[in-house]
Amino acid sequence: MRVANRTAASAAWAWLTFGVAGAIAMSPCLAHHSAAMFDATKSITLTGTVKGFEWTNPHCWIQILVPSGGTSIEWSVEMGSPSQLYRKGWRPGTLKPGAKVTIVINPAKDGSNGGSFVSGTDASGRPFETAAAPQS
Amino acid sequence: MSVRAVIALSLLLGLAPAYARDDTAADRVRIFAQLPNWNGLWESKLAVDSEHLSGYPVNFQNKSGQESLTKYFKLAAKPPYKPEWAQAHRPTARSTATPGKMCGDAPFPAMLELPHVFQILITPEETLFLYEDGDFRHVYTDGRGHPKKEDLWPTETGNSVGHWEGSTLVIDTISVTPGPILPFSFFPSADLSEQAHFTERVSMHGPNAMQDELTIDDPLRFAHPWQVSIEWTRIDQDRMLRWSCENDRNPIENGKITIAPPKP
Repeated sequence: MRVANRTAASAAWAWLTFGVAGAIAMSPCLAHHSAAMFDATKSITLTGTVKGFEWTNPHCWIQILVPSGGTSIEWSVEMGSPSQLYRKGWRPGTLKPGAKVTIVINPAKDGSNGGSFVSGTDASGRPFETAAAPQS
Repeated sequence: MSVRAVIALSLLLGLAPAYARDDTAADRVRIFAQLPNWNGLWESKLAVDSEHLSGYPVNFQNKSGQESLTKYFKLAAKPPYKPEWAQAHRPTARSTATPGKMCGDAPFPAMLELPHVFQILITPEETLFLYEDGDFRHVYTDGRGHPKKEDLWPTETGNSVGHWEGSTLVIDTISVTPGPILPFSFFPSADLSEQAHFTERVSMHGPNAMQDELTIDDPLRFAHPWQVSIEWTRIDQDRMLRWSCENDRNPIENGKITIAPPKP
């Protein structure tokens, strides 16, 4: 069958706006799912010690131990895929266990100790993207 | 056996095919030289907008905390359904998504826009789209048509044949698995029938910019063909890096995306 009407305008009107509470999307990406699980209107600053850095698909994760009342609470910080981070200069060894970091996240809406990475600095206060860039 | 007979037999057994191969090789070189150079790695504009360490587009939510899927996906817009079909059917979400899982396949045509890195390999006989998630798409350009009806069945990438109009690759795709086109387990998208017919015109629109003018015609459901223009950008990455669902820590529990703890 031939497509005859290539000049017909597409119906590009927005019909799909989904709200905070009810909508969950599945996708291989963004990085691999909708961002609806995170509250982009809020930011939390985590200062602590890197417990682990997962250089994995579909997401990289920073596990950070944040001191709290004589103990520490572990947070899971979601990042993009290794491919996305690689293009930003990150490598599997960019964050090492024991490193002191400060990370800003958009927290998970369900109140769990997790969030989406917004920005971060190393112990010297240098932003991660700058600090992590490979030496040329 | 005479010398003339030996020569004739030699030609029949070997020399003639050798000549034919040489001609074919010369033809391939000539044809290949006329084809465009689309080397490198590519991403959709959607993916470029996601170039942030979080993996999400910056400012993905508005001030009230809502996000619009159409802001990300042109293919999430409402297609030109026939009024009678739209009244009788509600858009549905893709039922093939794995329950409880966030991570999955990127079928055609969603693969054109989802943020996966891909490579385009061009030969005289076919153009091959290779995606970082291991998916692929063959577009045969050797002059063949689609297989006979009895030799076709729906698949997630369908069957594609193409031809070159100058430096524009024209692709014709049929036999795509019917149903909602976006791989969203909870979200409706354009619901296509088994008669959906896809035409693409792929061409460069700048040194590192490409455009795929996609037209979807679904005579059973659309009032007229639906046109979507998808932009691709050549990215600065030295090699293809594998993407997978290997360490998916976002299971769906009670209808909500959660964060699972790291594996011990």
